[in-house]
Amino acid sequence: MYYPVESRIAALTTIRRERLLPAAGQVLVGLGEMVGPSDVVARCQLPGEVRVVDVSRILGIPRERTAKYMRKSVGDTVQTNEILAAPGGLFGQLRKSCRSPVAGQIAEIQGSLILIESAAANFELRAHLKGQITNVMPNRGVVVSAAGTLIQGVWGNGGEAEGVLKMLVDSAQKPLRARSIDISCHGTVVVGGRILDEKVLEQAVEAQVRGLIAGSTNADLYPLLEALPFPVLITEGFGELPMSQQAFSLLQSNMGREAMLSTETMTRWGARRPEVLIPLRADEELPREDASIRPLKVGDQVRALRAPHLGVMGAVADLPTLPQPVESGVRLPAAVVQVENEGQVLIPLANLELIY
Amino acid sequence: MTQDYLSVESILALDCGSTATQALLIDRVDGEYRLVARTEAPSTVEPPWNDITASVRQAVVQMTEVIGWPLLNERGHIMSPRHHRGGVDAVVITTSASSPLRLVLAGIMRDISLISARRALSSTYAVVEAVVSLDKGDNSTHSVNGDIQGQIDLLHRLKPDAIVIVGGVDGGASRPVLQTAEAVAIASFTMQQSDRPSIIYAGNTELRPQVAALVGAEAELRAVDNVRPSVQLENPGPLQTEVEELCRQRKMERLPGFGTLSSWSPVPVLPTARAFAYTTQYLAHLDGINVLSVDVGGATTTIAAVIDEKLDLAIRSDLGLSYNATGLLNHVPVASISRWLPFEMAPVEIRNLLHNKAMHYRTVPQTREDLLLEQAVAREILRLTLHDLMPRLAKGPSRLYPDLLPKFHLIAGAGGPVTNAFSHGQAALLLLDALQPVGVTGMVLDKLRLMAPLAAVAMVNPLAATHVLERDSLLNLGTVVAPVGTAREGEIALTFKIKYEDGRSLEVEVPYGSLEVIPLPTGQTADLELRPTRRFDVGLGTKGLAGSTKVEGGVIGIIIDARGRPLPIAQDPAEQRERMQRWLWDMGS
Repeated sequence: MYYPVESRIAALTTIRRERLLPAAGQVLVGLGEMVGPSDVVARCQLPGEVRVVDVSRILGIPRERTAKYMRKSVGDTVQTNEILAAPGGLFGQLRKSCRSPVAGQIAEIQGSLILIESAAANFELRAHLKGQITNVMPNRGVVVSAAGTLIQGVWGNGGEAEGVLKMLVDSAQKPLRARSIDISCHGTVVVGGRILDEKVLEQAVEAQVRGLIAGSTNADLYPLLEALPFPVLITEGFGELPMSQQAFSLLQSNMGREAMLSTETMTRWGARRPEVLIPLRADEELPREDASIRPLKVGDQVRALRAPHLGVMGAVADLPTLPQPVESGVRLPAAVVQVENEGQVLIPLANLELIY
Repeated sequence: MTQDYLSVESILALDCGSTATQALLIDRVDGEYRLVARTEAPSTVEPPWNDITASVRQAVVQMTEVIGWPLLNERGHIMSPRHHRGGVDAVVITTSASSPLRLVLAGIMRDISLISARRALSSTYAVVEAVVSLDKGDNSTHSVNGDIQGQIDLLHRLKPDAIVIVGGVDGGASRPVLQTAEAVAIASFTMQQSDRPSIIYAGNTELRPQVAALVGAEAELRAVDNVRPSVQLENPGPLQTEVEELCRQRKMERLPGFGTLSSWSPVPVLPTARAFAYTTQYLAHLDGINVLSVDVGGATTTIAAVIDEKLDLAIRSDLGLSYNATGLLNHVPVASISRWLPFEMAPVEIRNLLHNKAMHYRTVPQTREDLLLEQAVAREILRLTLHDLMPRLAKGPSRLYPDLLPKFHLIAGAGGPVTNAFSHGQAALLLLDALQPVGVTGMVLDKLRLMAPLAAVAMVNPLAATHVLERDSLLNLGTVVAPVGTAREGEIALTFKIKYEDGRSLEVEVPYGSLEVIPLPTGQTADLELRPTRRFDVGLGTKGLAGSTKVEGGVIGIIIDARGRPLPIAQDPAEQRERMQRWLWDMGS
């Protein structure tokens, strides 16, 4: 009995996404309401930046003498460049004064240090998904539900975006080429088999794409990918891997539709997978997308997560009871997987993920 | 212990790691305690489970299939004590599944108290994410000097669990310490109440009231004895204890399902690294020997060293071979990893593999290339962890050479890359390359990952722990003889004569640069006469000095590692690959 990790590549399923505010705030939509991806569903205020002003250093006077020069008290509001402290008297006015670098409120005065909290920033939470509000959590957020295609990836550079899907290659093996990213990609989520070089990324920035989906990329591009102004989703992993045919076909069949990209990735301590969601009309009740949480069984669709079969998909044909010898010479608990065009291959259980 | 431990006959030991949970059943068989069954399930701390007990139940259900009697009741709880319907007499638990405590270290001078604090913290499940000091000795990204605005920005960005303030000897100058404490207090005051870190003060003891006044009621202050009470004296214990306690409260006890898990055990849940250290101590105490134990885990790497009964522990919570697999790349160039490979692998390929491993952290090597790459990574992880530990190791007679490992009588290897090697020779070579023992040393493998759980078992029945440790736990690899010195390749390093129990004997000249393996089966001993040439020391402290010793056999036998110390690495990558291949062949792999 082995409980594998799971990954979703579903053509049509019920998608439910919790949208939560980073701090307590106000929910702006009601239960049952239909929302678009860019609709604001909730808002809150985030605390402002804290700036410290050292009166002693700026005025050039000892710390213990600064108290009498203070012009502001804790709780006072201040404007940018407003005087916080200054020596009094005729000579004092000729000397340098200490001014606020930001507009905000005096949060604390400790000795010669003044702490100013700049004005709170408004935060608006967007629905990110075209669908219906199916749950409202007062002051915290909502749940948006929709029918649609769901493809989970393995790595993303963080951030969210929505845009029309644009296929730039006609096969899952083909890499993205910089020359194929032109002005027509502006505002779209572009899809390619692989990302091999930085020119592709530079061109994508130039064309102002909304997002990028590829099967794989090189770890050498990791820092560049992390710094991009748009989200990138990798479906298979690092290396020269084609996108899985299943994911590629789904994206291809949804070309021209609006896709929602969420690319925050956490492998531990609150694991999160990057994903692409494509809302679709459904005429019938669909199964929920929840994880299956069940042991691996014969017939299950699986994908290999490691060499020599990395990225290969197939169906479990047998689950031998005893550990099996693999290429390294080590004996491991393994499954026999039926792979199209390759026949049956032995893959360690730990290297399989359940696709459902 | 008030309980009569002899009444505790069946013990279920649960070891909840970051990638896997294992269940071990120990029971009385013919008057002795033995390991009866061992099962394993992938960790379920993360979604979709979010419950550490789910993997325990999976492992326990598998165990029920093996042993034939139920351990869980209808509500999914472990039945204890044992009765006619099933269950066990006691449950004990070790865990390393929680995230490490994230710390910012604040002090005065980078070279005095901050170093002492770093040393103290290196034996806890904590990661120092940034250092704040009054001097300007470091320009690294996550470090700032006395600039308060910089400290505020740093804390807002990192949101650490705690800030450790150190500095000043007891009775020493007060102003710099108070300046540091004031800056920390102001910086933490600016954070949201929910994000505000605890403040641990381990500086000049006499300044505690002033530090408390500076911190006020805005943050939680925990004051402990000075980590550096005088220039000559280091006092790491109190700071270590406090950080361990904080780690338990903030991390371990907040693991999803921890409440249920801990309710099954009559004794506290032990952190795995600490339990691993306890067993190392026990092994050292048992025979009055120096023991070095290493464990390369998924998220954490631990080295425990006992020299002359003194324990030193190094924990690297940022280095492991699962989701921390890319952590090593922050510390060493890729070439440091590839030098341990017998084949060419492009740097980008190594980085790709490590990134994939970090994402799919449960995966195991299926090809020889992958297996050897993980072993190469493990070598570097162990070298880095050992580097942390070395300055703390005693400078007594065991330490023959300041830059080399002190003399250990026994080395125990644990963790996936070591125990899941293709052959025992491969595992031994990994340990030899990474640790570079000197002189004559026994080598064992904790093949079934029992060392840490047995420390917890000892809390309910020490006899059971001793029996299982002696009979079921450690796989004896054999004995390694590693002369210290260098010479020209092929020059004779030493001559050894082995006298077997049956009277046979064998004399061999071992050239410098070679690895020789002489079979000596487990359970047998042999007399070994070692005659090093004038450039080599066989662990007696003097080059050229001959000696003899009785050695124990093992699944490998006797390994003469005449590659020299420190281990020479060829500058030319192609030559180094050839050497690696030869060493693997020499070790039968």
